[in-house]
Amino acid sequence: MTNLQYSRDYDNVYYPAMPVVDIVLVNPNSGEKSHSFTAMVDSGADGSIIPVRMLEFSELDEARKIRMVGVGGVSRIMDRYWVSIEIGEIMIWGIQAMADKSNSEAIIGRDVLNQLVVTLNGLSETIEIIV
Amino acid sequence: MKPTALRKKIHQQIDKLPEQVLEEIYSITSQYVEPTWREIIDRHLAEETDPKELAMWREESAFLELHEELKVKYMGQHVAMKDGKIVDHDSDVASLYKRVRQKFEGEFVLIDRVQEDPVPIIKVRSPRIIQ
Repeated sequence: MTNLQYSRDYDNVYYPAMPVVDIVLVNPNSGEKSHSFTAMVDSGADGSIIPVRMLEFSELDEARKIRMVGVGGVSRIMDRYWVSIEIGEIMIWGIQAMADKSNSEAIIGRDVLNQLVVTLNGLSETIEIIV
Repeated sequence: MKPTALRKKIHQQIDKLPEQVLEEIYSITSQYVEPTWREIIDRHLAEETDPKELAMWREESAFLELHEELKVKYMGQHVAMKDGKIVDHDSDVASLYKRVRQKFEGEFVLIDRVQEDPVPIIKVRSPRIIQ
């Protein structure tokens, strides 16, 4: 069986440079896809966060709401949606992504990362994913 | 300084703060008086008129009420709850979601993993430095 691979340079817009991936959201029911956009890779995040405008490409099923706690203990109730995520050729099925109404950056958390082999090469500023 | 004079002085100082700072203060202080999950559910059940949103809060309420029972029967598994009853369960969330979607197309069904805490919290631990 051939492993699927994905690699990308860190994003140098951030300082220090940030490991990021280009993702496409997929409606698990219809197969409808969003356009590609960049998401930060964050192993400190329990779940994945997607700007709400990115979730408007299709009629996604709503999932159970959840309380999200950020740095400093600030918490809020987040809406969640069922979505699959494509990273290159790699498909991660059925994630309950949190919808960020402030529409800031997308974050790929450990709900996705723990299904993959992720190598962060800080010296060469590249991220490599194998599954 | 008299309490009224002190109050006036504090208000004057607060009025001078930028909106962004006020929002940050609010988000930090509000966590100490934030409502419980039960209070949030009761509020939504009393106020919500959108049938889908109402269904979400009803299933949430039922999930919390049955949680001790669910732990005994389905600990570690994903359950699907509709009209306050478990309609399906599976350790593989993808299979469960597909079956539920097929059976209850267009209707809200709460799907979540039964774990120790009935109200799981998602933490996003990574602080960001704003340049």
